[in-house]
Amino acid sequence: MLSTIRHLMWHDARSLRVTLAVWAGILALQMGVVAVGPMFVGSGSDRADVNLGQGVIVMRLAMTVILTALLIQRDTAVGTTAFWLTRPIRPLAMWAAKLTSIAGWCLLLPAALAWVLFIGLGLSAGSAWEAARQLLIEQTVCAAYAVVAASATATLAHFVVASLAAFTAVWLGTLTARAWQDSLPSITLPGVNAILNAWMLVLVAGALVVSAHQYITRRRFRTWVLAGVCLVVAHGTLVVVRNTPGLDPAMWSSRTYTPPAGVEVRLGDTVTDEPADVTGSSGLVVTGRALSTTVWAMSPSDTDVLEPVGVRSSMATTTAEPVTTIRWSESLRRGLWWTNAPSVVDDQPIRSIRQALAVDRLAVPSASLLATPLYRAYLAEWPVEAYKAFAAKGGGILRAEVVVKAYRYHVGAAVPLRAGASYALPDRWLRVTLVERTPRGIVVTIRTAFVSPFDANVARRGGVQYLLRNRARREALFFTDQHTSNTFLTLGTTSFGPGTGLRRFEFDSQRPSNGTIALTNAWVDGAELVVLIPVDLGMFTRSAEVWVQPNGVAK
Amino acid sequence: MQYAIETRNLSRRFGRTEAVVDLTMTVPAGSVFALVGPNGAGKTTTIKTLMNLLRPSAGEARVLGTDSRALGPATLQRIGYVSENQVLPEWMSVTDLMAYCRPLYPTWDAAFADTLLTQLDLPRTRPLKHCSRGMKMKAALVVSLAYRPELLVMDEPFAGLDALVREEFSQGILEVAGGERPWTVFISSHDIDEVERLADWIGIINRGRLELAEPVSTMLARFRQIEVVVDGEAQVAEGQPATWLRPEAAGHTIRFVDSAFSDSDIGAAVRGRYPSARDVAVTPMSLRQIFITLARVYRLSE
Repeated sequence: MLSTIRHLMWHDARSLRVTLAVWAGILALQMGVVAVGPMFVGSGSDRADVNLGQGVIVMRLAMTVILTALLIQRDTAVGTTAFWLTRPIRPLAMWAAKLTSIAGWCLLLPAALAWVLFIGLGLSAGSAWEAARQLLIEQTVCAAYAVVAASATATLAHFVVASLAAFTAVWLGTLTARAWQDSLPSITLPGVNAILNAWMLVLVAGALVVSAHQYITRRRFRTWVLAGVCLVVAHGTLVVVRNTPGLDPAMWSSRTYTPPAGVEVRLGDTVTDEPADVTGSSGLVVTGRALSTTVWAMSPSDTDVLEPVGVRSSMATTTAEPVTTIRWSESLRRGLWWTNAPSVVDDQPIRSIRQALAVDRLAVPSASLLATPLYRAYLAEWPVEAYKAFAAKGGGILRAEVVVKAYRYHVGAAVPLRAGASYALPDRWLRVTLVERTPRGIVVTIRTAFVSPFDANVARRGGVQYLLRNRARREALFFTDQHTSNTFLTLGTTSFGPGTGLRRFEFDSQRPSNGTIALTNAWVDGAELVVLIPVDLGMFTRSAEVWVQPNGVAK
Repeated sequence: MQYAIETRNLSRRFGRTEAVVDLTMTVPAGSVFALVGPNGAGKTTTIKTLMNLLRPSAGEARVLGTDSRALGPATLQRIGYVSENQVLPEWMSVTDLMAYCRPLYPTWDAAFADTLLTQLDLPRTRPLKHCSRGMKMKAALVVSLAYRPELLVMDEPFAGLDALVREEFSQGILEVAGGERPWTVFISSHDIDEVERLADWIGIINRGRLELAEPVSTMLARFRQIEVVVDGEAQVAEGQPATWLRPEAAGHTIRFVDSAFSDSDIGAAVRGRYPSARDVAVTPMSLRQIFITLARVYRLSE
């Protein structure tokens, strides 16, 4: 059977040689765009970088779908007219040949090219594999959908119609299911991206089963039913599988952090109480009340930074008996937001960075650069009947189990401040391409290649930070957020995927809010560009509570 | 007697439509069996069921001794299949198609395939999508003959082909049929003319039911056109034998088809029904004439 599979694959490749050449061209184009695109696009030019990058990504995904459909439908198992059906070819051999071809051309080839690209860009083999793996996952999901649709249809036209119908059904079904999400049973899985992993595994298994069923039995109606079941289960997985309530999957850490004495985890003094659409116990959306407050965590440590990343809560009355369990709204399960808390000065990141840099003076151009995102707003939704019971008792205690992440900055790399200087860490590579003096200070342009999703988001708390440091003077300076521009081209559809970028940092000596550092020639001659990387220390949970009166008065 | 194909109470339904009904048929090994019937009679469904392209709704079929539902590579290596409904891989040239098929058949005879290509005057490098329908059918025939199958199944192979291509096509089949190795050809057609020269067995299917199946020689022997000239105005007598088909009277003449002709009996039988018969003329019939007669009989009986 193996020789038959090889024979079939060879003929597939031969018959689709023009399409495969186009496919190879698209892959080469994308790799080329990612490798050198940012240099040609320039920085901040009307989002041309995004358009170019997204354009080739769309081409790649579209071609993946087309190539998968062509590979399967050239020897379709739908209908009774295909040539191969009356030839001495085992259905299992044909199925294996198709799936192996798809795996080779649509999955492994792009992943291999991505691996070579990132090796060529200076990343380690492990990081290049991580970049390739992200592309592999994207291609696998895309091809799996195409396999399901192509297995149940005989022509590209039918494939397109079936795909559109399935897409619409899945979209409407998912929207409907989301409205009932709280009343559905949930499955909690540990680990980073558990939801996506579960979804992908179900989808790939479903695609294998659906295609094998059609090739072996050729019973199309049953295949359609199986395809429907596959899509429902895969997308049902997205609805019912959760990492942990209120926890951002990207923030997940499996380690446990033991907080030092003096750590303070608090709920905000102000609780907002306002009408909101709430999913009631019946599953229907009703008008209720929403309470929202901020959560913050402070550390006395000069090195460790604390950040609240999740919360579980219940509301208790004065008798300490819970009136109801407050469910965090669905939007918050998927993304919490930052908020300002101007009354509290959070200098944890500054202290950690100062320690990491070993400087006496750290000039921060904007107070909000690091302090702003300390606090996270949390929203609790409450059906109106429950709220009335709460109000009738004169208020209650909002009690929360706050999940806190801890991290610490350390110097990832330090390179001399001159064009051509470069460094390579396992998961990122950087080269200084231009150093310009301006009336306000210095503009440094760098080319970079990265795997870490957080590298791309400069202003994000807990992300990679770039600074200028003069070691002899024990002084360091942050770049100015307002005059910094980034051009990023990523390999995948997500904006935090592996990719390359051209970044332009302005270090403005006149802007720091906590004292000016004069960027003299002598200072600049001894300066280096420092890349600070947060090291994950783990997580811990701490209880916090606040008394809430009706209308949101906390005391 | 060994049979290349056997069906027993074979039925195939599509929803409420019965395409093949209770079909019991045997195709002797070594015969050229033509299954003829009007369009929509169930020929293609029968063949698709034999080739395991469709599953029987009831009954069973055995092809080269194997249950059609279990037809696997080992049996398919002994069967050739040509059909007007088959979609060839049109992105391939004839040479590509041969290269595709060759490793699948241990008995592939490259020299024979080359001879067939030359005989059928097929362009070797032109993609099939740029070939005429006749060329495609010839290509399908070549890749179905090149491994000298024990059984060749053809579903309406001549449909839409011009006379020259039909002739070439028939020659291709006859070439192999006349070879040393005994083989069986099972061919379906709605036009008796197309298979008359090839077939030595005939099966007639109508509305999914097999009306008859017998050797051509037997059929030709038992069907005769009978013309009886009587004195006075001719009238079809009542109580004629059921084997006298399509009786009609015009002037002094009565005509009918005797489907159980016996040379020794016909004179006495006719005079028994028509005492005023002056003359009885017996004319042999061609397959085409027999087929048309039967087709009309079946239509009248529905």
